[in-house]
Amino acid sequence: MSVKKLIIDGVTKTFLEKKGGTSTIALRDFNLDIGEGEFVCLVGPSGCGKTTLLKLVAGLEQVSSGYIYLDGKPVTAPGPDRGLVFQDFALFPWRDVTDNVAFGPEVLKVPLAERLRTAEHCIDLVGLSGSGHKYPSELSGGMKQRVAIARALANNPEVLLMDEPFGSLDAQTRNQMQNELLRIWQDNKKAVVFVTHSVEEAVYLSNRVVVMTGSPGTVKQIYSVELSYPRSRADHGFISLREKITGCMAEECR
Amino acid sequence: MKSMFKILHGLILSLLLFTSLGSLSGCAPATPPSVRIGYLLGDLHHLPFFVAEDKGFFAEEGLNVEVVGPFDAGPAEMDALAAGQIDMGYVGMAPAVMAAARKIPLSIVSGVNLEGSGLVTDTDINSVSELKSRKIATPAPGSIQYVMFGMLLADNNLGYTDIELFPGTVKPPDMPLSLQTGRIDGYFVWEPFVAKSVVGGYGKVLVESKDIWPGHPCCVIVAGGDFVQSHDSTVASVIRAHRKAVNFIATNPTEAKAIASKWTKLDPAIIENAFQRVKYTYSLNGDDVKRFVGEIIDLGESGAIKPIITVNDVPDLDKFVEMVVDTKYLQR
Amino acid sequence: MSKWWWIPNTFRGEDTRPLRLISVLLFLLIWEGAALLANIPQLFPTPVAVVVALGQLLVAPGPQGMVWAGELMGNTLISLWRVIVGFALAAVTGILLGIIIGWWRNARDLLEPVIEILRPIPPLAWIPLAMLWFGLGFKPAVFLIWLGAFFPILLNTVLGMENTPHKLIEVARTLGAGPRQILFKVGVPSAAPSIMAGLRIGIGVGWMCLVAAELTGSNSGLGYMIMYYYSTMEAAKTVAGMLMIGIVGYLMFIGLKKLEDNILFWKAA
Repeated sequence: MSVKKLIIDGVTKTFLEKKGGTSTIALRDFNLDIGEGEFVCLVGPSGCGKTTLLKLVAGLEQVSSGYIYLDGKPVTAPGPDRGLVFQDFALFPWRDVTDNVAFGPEVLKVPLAERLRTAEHCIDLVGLSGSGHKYPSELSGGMKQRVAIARALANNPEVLLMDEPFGSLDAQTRNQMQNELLRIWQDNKKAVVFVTHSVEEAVYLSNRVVVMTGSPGTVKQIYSVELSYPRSRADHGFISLREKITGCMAEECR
Repeated sequence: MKSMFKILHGLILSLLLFTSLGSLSGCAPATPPSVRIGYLLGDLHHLPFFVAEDKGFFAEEGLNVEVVGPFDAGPAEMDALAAGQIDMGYVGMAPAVMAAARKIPLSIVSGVNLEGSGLVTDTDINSVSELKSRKIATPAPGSIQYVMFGMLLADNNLGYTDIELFPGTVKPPDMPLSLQTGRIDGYFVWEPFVAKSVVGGYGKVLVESKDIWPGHPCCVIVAGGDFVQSHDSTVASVIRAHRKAVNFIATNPTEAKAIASKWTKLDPAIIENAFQRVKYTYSLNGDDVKRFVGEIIDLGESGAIKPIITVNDVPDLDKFVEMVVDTKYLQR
Repeated sequence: MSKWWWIPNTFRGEDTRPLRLISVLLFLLIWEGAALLANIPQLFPTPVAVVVALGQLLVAPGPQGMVWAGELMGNTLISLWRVIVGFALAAVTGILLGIIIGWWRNARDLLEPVIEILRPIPPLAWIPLAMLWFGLGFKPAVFLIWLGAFFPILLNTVLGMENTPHKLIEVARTLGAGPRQILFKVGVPSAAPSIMAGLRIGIGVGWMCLVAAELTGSNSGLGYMIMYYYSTMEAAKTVAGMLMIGIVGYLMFIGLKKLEDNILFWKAA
């Protein structure tokens, strides 16, 4: 049995309404194990807690009950071992690409020469070589997302958390970025937890697809994707799996 | 529709009624003032004005006087005269001739007082030469005190650049306090603010204005050029009332001092001390005016003060004095 | 006039410079006419008289200590120095306090009531106190200018800090940044545009406080010069001084705008 990278054990998250005092249960008894180098997608209806789960793993929120372990150690606060990529890029507009990417090593007090090298390496990795001096205001959506990914990778995290990262891109750029991501992932073999609305995207990218229920969010069904890379959307196995998962999200899980 | 017209009709009627009632309620028709007279803040020199007002001398002449002010300094009062906000004013001679030199039409129609200003300093200063680099406050540039201080400097071979002069920045009522708190080392101002420091014990009169020019004219009554032309009898009446007041002060000093205390808002003890330095009058001497203007021009040229009136402003001094000084009211 | 005159300028892309020139000339003409009509040159000077006065003021000897600079420039430099000192103090105190109040809830709860009470008091009202505390001359003037500039700078800094996007803070945390690093590497840079706006407003207000400031027992400076010539009824010189105040204020505004464009070059290209 391989050592599980990320263990989410019986996690429940309750939000207390500030006014009114009512509470919402975002996640209830959520269980998921993710292995080394695995690519896992979370799909589910809006508000089912996908983003909340990601934030809990990132350490930006605290669990109400249950445990989260990374490499056997409990997760309590944000840290460089978990990289996070947002849908709206969240780049620092006053820093150029290199300085954005180097931010992580910079706050970890890595010396200048070394962190510039790391930044350059990550920038090359995401296919933006030579754009280090550009500013976010000069970049297209797709380029910005690449920078965000490079930035998350600069700290060499144990797991990459991505919250609908391609949601604000146009269809063409989106497909492009999906392929880029697969390339990067196959290159550095990091575990990835990827949240998306799109079943098609989930089937295209991941090893496993986790279908979540509506609130309170919990695991409804997990599907293994046995297709080999690179995948074809027109492939028969691809289409049938996509339909199965879509159906599962609607009601019946086969 | 019909009811709306009725309401509107009623509203208009009631509006007319109220406004007519309003004009009726002021039973006696309000008379417009026959003359607007300005004066300076807390200036003991203007006591005849205060007396004439309080004792009803203006009313006796059939005048309805609107009191305008008080003004912080002469130049401000002259601005008001130029802008037509006052018709006549009690003011220092210096700002009056300065305004005239600026071609503002006015006439000097009566004297008000002689002397009555002084240089007050810290008690440890003993001579004018010690004033070098000290902070001295005066009323606004163009005021008579500003000019006389210049004359004092000239007499002692000093110029305004030798002093840290603050003309017009400290208001006369604040000058004693400023001296007391050490913000300034001395000030030159009109009574009773000279007496205030003396009575308070924190200042001494280093020089009285009469020491600089004995019997010097100080305040005068001016009248705007067009007012003199169009309201000749009013001007005469004002000066008659002024004469009565000057005589009253001479014969009833105690009551006069009480009126002074009321208008200057200062302690009777201070008024008592100040009174001795002021001489009230209604005479007006063209030669004195001429000398005064000449002094101002010379002081400006010699650097004792920053030039206020220059030879360019008044090329013919005699003609100027003739134009400005009008002594005919003194006999009427 | 072109037939599309009713379309706002921003959409037309025409050269509006000839129009600006015409408006200035028209203004001068109206001024000249009104002044001649009013016929009180001692209080209402004509533009020509003002230009002449400007010339006279340029060559007249300067105030004590700055005789060589000429009266106009000497007083301008004196006033400018006061404003620079007052503004620098306001910038330092305003930004520092603004960062503290904008970042920490407790600080805001503690200081906000006091600030909100003091803020609406116009600098003019502080003149007597200024003279009481600081006497005459340089210090009370600097105090009043500081007062005018301080609040816009403070408020804009607070706003900038408070509006730091949460996402950026979250990103910084996931990248391993500690609280102090988040403050200086995310909070402050994010607030920079707002701070710059505050500085720009602050120097404008500070400069406008100049006349009020120099009424507090100064005997030099542009504000004092204006009041001096008002007293001696030389209105042309008074207006010349006012003009100088306007010109210098405008130049400062342009200077700061240039600085702002340089520092904030990373904003939308």
